[in-house]
Amino acid sequence: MSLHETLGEIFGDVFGYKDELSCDLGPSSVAGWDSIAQIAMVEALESHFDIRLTTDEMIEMTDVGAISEVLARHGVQE
Amino acid sequence: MASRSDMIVDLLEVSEEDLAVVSALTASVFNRVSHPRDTARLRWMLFANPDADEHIPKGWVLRSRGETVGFLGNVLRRLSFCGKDHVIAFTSDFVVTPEYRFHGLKLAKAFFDQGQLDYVACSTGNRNSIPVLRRLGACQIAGADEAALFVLNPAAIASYYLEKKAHGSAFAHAVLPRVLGAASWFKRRLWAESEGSHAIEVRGVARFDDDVDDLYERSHPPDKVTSCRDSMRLNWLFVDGPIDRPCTKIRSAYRDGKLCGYVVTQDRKLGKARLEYRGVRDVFCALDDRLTFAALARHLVQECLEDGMDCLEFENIPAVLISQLASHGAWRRRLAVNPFLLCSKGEDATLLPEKAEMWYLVNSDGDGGGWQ
Repeated sequence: MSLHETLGEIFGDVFGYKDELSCDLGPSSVAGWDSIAQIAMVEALESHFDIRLTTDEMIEMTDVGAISEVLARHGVQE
Repeated sequence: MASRSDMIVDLLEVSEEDLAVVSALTASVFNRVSHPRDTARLRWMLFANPDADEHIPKGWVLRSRGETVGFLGNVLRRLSFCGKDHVIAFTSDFVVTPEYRFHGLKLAKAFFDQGQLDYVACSTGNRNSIPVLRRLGACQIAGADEAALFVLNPAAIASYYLEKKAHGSAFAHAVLPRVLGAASWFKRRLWAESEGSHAIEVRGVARFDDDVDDLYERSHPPDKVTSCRDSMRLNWLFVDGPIDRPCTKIRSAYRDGKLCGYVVTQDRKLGKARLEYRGVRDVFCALDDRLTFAALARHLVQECLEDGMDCLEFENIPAVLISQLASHGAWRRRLAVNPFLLCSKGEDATLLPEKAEMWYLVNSDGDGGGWQ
C-alpha cells in the first residue's frame, strides 16, 4: 500500500474523511480535525509506521503535505 | 480549499492590552455576552497575582492574519512540599475559535514546556482531551473528583437535576424529593445530636489577618503538596479581587480564642429554577482536627437553613473530609470536572498523585474560573 493510500485510510478512520487527499488539505478543510483528533491521527501513524513523533512534529503536521514531509524524515517514503 | 498560508498561526505572549480582546473572544466562543468585568477578572488573576513573575508569561495568544483566535492563561501559585517552596502554573480560560481548534496544541505545548517551573497543572472538563494532555507529559491525579452535597431543600434539588437532565418523569418528581429528604434529614439530625461540642466558636470575618499566617504555618501537612494559604494570598484570592462578590463570605473558627480554621463560601443561583446554591470555595484546618472541621461544616449547614439555601456543597477537599461529611449526611457527588492532571519537572511524578489532592493544591479553582 502506498503512503497516499495509507494516509487515506487513516483519514477515513480518524476523521471519517473519504474524499481524495491533496497536499494542501488541512484542518480547516476536514471536519473534526482538531487537536484531539490530531493526537488520534498521530497515534495511528506511529502505530502503522512504527515510529515516534515529537510534539513539535505533531504541531508541524498542518496539512497532508506537511505530514508526508515529517514522515519522510522518519524514513517513510511514497 | 485552504492553502498553507491560511493555516499560519503565531503564538505570542499575552499582554495587558490583549485582555479585552481575549474576553470578547471567550464570550463569542461560549455564546455569552461580553462584560467589562471579564477583562477585569483576567487582569486581576494574571497581572495582579502575588505570585506572578516578570520572567514568566502570563499566558499566550494565537494570532492569525492579525486576529486573536486563541488564548491560554498561565496562573502561577506558590505551594510547599516537604519543607520547600515551589511555584506551580495552572491553566485558565483556555479558548480557541472552532476553525482554529487544531492549533490549540501550540498553546498547550507552550504551557507544558515551562521548564523553569517545578510543576504545571491543569484540569479538564473534556474527557476526550485527556490523551492530548498525557501526550504532552501530564500525569493524572486520581481521587479528586468528588464533592459533598448537603441537600437542604430536596424538592428544589430534584427539580434542578431533572430540568438539567431533561428527562424527568412524574414518578421521579414525586418520589426523589421524598427519598433525598428522608435520608438527608435523618442523617443531619443524627449528626446534630451526636456532635454536641461547643468548644469551638465560628464567626464571620471581613478579611484574613496575621492569625491565618500562623494557622497555615502550624497546620499544613509537610508531607502533602499544599498551596500557600497566607493572608496576602488569601485576601488577593477571596477579598480584594475586582469582581463584585457580595455573596462571598469568610467564617473563622476559634478554639480558646485562637484561630483553628476557616471556610470561604460563595452563593449562586443555578438554572432556570434559580436554585439557591452555596459552594465552599476553600476550607482549611489541621487535617486531623476533625472537631474544627465538623464545627465549620455544622455552622454552615445551620446558617444555610436559616438563609433559605437549597443546598451546600464542599469541593476541592481531601477524600478523608468528604468521608467525614458523608457520615454527617452529605451526598457524595461525582464532579463533571475530569481528573486533575499534573506534569512534574525534575520530580518523580509517580509520587505525586497520592500527595497532591485538590484541596492541597488549589484553594478556589486555582484559575478563578468558578467565580461569578
